[in-house]
Amino acid sequence: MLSDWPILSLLTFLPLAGVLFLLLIRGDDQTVSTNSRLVALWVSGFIFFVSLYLYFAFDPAQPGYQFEEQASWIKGGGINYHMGVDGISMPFILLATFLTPLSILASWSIKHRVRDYMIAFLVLETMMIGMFASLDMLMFYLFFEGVLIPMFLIIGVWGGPRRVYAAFKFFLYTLAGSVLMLVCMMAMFVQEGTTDIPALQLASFAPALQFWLFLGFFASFAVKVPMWPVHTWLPDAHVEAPTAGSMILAGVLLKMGGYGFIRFSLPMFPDASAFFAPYIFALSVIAVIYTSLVALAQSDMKKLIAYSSVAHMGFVTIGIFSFTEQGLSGAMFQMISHGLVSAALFFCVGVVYDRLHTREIKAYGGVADVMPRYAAWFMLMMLASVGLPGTSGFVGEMLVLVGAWQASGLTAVLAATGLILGAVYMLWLYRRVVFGRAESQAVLEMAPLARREVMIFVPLALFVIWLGVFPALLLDVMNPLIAQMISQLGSLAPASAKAF
Amino acid sequence: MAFSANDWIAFLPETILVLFALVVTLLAAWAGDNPKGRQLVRQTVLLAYALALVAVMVGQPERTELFNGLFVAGGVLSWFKGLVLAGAFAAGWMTTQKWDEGVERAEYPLLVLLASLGMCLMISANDLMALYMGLELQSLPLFVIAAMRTRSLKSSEAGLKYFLLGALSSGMLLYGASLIYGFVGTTSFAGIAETLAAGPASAGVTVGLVFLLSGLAFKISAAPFHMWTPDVYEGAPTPVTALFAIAPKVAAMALLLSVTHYAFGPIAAQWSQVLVALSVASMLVGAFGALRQTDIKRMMAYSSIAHMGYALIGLAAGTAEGASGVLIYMTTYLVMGAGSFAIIMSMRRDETPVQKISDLAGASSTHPLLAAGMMLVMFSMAGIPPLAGFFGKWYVFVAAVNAGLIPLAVIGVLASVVGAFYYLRIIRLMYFQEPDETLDHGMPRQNQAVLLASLAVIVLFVFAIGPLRDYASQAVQELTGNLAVYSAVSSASYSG
Amino acid sequence: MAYLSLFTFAMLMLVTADNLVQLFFGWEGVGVASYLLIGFWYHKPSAHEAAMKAFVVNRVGDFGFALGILAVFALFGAVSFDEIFVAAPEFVNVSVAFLGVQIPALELVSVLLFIGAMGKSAQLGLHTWLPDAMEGPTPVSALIHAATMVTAGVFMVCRLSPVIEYAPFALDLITVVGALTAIFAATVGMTQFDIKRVIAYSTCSQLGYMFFAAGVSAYPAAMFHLTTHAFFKALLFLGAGSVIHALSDEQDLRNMGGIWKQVPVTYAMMWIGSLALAGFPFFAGFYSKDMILEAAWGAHTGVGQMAFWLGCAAALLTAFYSWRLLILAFHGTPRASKEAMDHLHESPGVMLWPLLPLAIGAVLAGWLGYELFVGHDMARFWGDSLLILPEHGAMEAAHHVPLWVKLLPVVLAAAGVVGAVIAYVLIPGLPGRLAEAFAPLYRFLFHKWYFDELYDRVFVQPAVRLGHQFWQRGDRAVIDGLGPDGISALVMRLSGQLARLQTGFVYHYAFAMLVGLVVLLSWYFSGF
Repeated sequence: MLSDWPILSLLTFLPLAGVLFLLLIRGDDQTVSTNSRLVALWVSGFIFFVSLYLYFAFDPAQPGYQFEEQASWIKGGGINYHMGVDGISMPFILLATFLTPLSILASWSIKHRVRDYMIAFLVLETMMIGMFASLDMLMFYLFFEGVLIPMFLIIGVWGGPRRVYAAFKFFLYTLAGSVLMLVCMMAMFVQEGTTDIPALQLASFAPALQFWLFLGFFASFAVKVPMWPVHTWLPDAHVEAPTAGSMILAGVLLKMGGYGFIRFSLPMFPDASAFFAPYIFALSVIAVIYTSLVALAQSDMKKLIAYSSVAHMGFVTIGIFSFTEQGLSGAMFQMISHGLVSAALFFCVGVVYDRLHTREIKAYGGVADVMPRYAAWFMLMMLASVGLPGTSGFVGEMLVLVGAWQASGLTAVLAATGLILGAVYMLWLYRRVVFGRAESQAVLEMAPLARREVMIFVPLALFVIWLGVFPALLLDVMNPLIAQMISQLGSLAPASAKAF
Repeated sequence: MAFSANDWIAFLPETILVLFALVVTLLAAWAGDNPKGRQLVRQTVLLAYALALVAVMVGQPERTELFNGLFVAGGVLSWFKGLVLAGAFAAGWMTTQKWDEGVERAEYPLLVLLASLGMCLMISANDLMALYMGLELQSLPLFVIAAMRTRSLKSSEAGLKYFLLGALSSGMLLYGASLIYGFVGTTSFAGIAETLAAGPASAGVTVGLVFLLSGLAFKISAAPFHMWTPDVYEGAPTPVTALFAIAPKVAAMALLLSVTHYAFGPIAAQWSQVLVALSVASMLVGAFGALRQTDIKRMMAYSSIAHMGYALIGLAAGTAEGASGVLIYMTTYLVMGAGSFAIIMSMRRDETPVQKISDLAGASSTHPLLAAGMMLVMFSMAGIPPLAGFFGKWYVFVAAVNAGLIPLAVIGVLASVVGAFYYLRIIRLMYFQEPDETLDHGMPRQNQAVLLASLAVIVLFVFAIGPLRDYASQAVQELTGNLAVYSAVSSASYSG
Repeated sequence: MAYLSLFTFAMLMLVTADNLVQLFFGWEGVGVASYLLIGFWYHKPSAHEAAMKAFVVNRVGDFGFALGILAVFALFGAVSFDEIFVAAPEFVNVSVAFLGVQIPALELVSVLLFIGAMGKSAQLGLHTWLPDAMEGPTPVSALIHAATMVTAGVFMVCRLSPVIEYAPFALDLITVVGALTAIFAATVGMTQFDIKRVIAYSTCSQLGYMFFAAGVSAYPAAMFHLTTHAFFKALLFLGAGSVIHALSDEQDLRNMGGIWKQVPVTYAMMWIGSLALAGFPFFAGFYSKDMILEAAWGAHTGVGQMAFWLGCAAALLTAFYSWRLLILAFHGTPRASKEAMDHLHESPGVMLWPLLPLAIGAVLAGWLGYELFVGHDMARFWGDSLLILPEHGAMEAAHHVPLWVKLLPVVLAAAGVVGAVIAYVLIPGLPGRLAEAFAPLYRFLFHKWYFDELYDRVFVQPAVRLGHQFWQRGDRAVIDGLGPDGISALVMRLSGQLARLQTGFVYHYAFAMLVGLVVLLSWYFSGF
């Protein structure tokens, strides 16, 4: 029976089996490239189907961890191999397994060192799934940091002209954040004698200690999210990363920060979270407005979308620290939705980049003439990004605002201006790229969408709309858990935030 | 004085090395000037390491005092001895016939053998006299082999510098030892511990301890006693550098461990302070110093300084946990060092060894195995999980946090971020750049074997960490029994 | 066509919504459809600029709407109309702290939701998108930007009457904004030359009427005007489209004229539309507009009076610009280009037939609907869907106003027509001379009160500049400069310093060791 299998370990390490396959491919360069692509695609596609089992076998009514696996690892040390998912981590695993095959499919334009590229992607998938499935803090950290290795290479080897700068910035920025978290993890380990996440969630740390622990974890997660003002690695990393790298980076890796806040900061340091909530609101609001304005000033498509990611993730942090059910589930929804939409938007850029080899907005215009179907997909994703009702983007933002309104009216009002600004920069981008009359010869010669590209758009669009129309698809999975979390946090609503 | 047979069995590894040293001396004198003879010498020495290693592994599991307490064997020391011997074996094995620059001479393996003997004695030392003897037996051959490349000015200069500064450090150490003897009245570690436990230590003892520690800091090249390291690493022939990077550090760290935790265990609060200073200085010097290096061996020198700084964190914690952290750290250090030098030793262009970092440019497309190996080693050295280097850091930092040395841990992790930069720089060269001139193809078989073994450990360390940690926390118990309650006090202070 | 289906779907969602979220859903849906249709001719820069403007300005409204929904949810814990309406009276005296100020809860909700309505219904301040939206195809203008979508704001305000009734300040605000819009749009309409823009401003102005009707609690009157307006405004738009088509896509009134004989059907239709718009007796507009003005008068409040007088002035102007349009478009000497005149023809049946039912509506809708909407059958027709508190008696009082109040609008309309005839037929030079004589005023009106310029200066340009500053100064100079780049530069400098210490001289090394020893010793002892 499938239910007896260690499904999470299987999911986590299946990509590594794919890596073995890739290493076994023999032949001339052409054969290796072609086969590597196909192997990676099939492996990741297979993993996605296996991961669907998670969704269907998952019991949403039960808020605890499911599919748990435990094995002793560092016996004497209170550190064990412990995996399991709940309503919060399971959607992220699906997001990761869903986006990976699409990203691989979007990587057909990678021409050199295809095998290495695919290996990096599959290793990345292992790290992502493992991170979301880990119920041991040390394991979590292993996967959390392990992500840096393949991503560093993906940006650095297959990236754009300033890839070295971007890769280093990405790596060192995030590393600097996470090592502080590491020290805090050690302190928790020292005090509790275990790194087991469920056990630590039950442990109560002294408020003074919580204060420091919160800051340490914050350093890591804030960089990952990224929150203002530690967001500056993101535009560079996105701009230089290859299309698929950006898709995964925006689609999954940014969510690691939000996930961390929900998994660690809220349940383990509730007092400190409540204490810091107003500051986080302030930073998030700045992120929403500031980066939206910056996005407005961009002339590089990818940079614009990268900045828009920062703004959208600002909603996530507001939702998480609103200490309300709506806010938290809105934040979750927003993360999943942003994962799909931003991946799709980066792919939109990738499609035209593959044809024109520039990301300058100025070089385009009138794309609708030559690629009408592309214009339609782009339009859909653009509208989802601005949070149009009926798309997934709306549900998340609205829920977050509902939560924020209850926590702090000012935050809600200021964050809601992001809705206006978001519309401005996205529509402006769309207008400059797609509308108008195609004038440059290069644009006129752009090939219409290939079937492979449509195959990437279709599933993304499907889920964007599906989630927009039936948000229960996702909300049902996580709401019992979120309700439980909020009731445990109980009276800890950010008291000082009420003063706003 | 009568020595029991038991003593000799416990002393078997050293005995094997001594006997082989005698044999090899004869062998070298007899057949040293023809290639076949040299080959024989080399293989005999390797055999000596192998046999000694076997002897270590099958030997006394418990800690046993030998020769009236002059030496001690078994227990955790066996682990360190095993590391040293394995390291010496790897370094000697990779020093193939291809190498000239002096290391092809028959006396080279012999000198290394003698130095290894010295290292084993250092690890076994249980008395200030034995300590000094082992130290000097280790140092003198190393001075010579650092200058082995006689036609190279740099090599001679390195040897001379190493010798002069080594003499200075020996002087400090000896002075410290005599102060301690003067104030405590015994040179035996056990005796020192006993006396210190009995009552408050006089200032003379502490001054002596500082001198002693300074001398030992020189051996592990902890800042500010590190200045020789970059020059010697750069100047010495690469096989010598490889040896330097691997074996003596482990031995000296083991010695430092027994001196502090065992002999001076009762006054842990006092040496801990010194070690904190050394540790911070080393981490910073190591991290910052390496950034601008263009010579890969020089860079590795700074890298090893930084690594010693991290290992010192574990020592500075002054707890059993810290000691076991050091054991884990030094194990990973040795494995990573062996792996990295397996690669550095195979960097050749037109049959000549090269050692510029930029020589690695674009290696990923021309030498995929080499580049992939180097990448993993570098990520591991930077402490990126899930590779081996991370676990070493995890345990020393955990010990520091537990001992209340949180600022030290924070400095440590931040220094590791800076350190990550120069490790990444190598990866960048190999992976993000196109090659201009390619290195020679074909890595020697021995290097391949060492590299693969090292990579296997680095990648699969996640599986080994459980048993290793269990072993380490068990094994260090006997060394750390003398530690004062100091650690318990300080760890309580932060958790409020 | 797919866009139109989308629009119809969303519009139905909107009007059938039984909760605010569904209403918002439809609201945004029609917004997207409108965006797509305005930008239908995406080759034209002005078209996609207008499309974007429409979307963004509407977003500003949505900003208020969304916050309004949040406020409703926070207040009532529900978003369905049933629950809100039942609960509303209980919250009359509840106030909430909003941005540090205590505000009556229902006022807050109502004002926020009204901001949403302002955006969609192009009320003063958020009106700038509507005239530009005329870049879309003319039938779209007729359907979306005249008859249906733009009235969604009015619909919403009426729909939410059970809440808004308890918010006197919000009602006053609605009245004032509506009245100002009515007069503002009418003044601008007088000076425009694009035939569709003139009609668009007229739409804007009529929406103003509807709002101030709602503001004085005369919701039935607002809905009535909404209905009649749909007929004659769609008629006018389609008629204008027919004119434009006849003149080979010419939209500028200055390039028309003298064509009424060639396009008799269109001409007649435009007459009917204009008569209805100006509120001539027994045309549709007469009933609804008079009703609104009477209600405003009957409200017996300060703002009601203001709305009444502004509404009357707007009625004068409405008639003026309608006949200005008619005269410029159809009479006088032909000013169109030769080719256009050569191709001049009446539109085909497929364009003309649809005008007929609209024309019938424009004539009869007022007469037929009067009793039902605002007359004796009013209570039966509206049932519980509209709530008018007893103390808001404007609707009742409207039936009992002095005669002069009833007559004034008609008289003013007639005066407007006469004025237009004088200015554009009898003394052709007059408008030009007047424009010169009152040049600043004329320019002010012609440039639509400088709203676009103002917004450009106050919002658009600063936002872009600020974004640029944030990016270059904030991100690059400050955050990166002090953060990663600055730190790495510092680290590299330190590293250089450290490298300088490594001199290579053995006595330096020995010195360092000794210094190290001394430092250790002294630190050690000072630590005691």
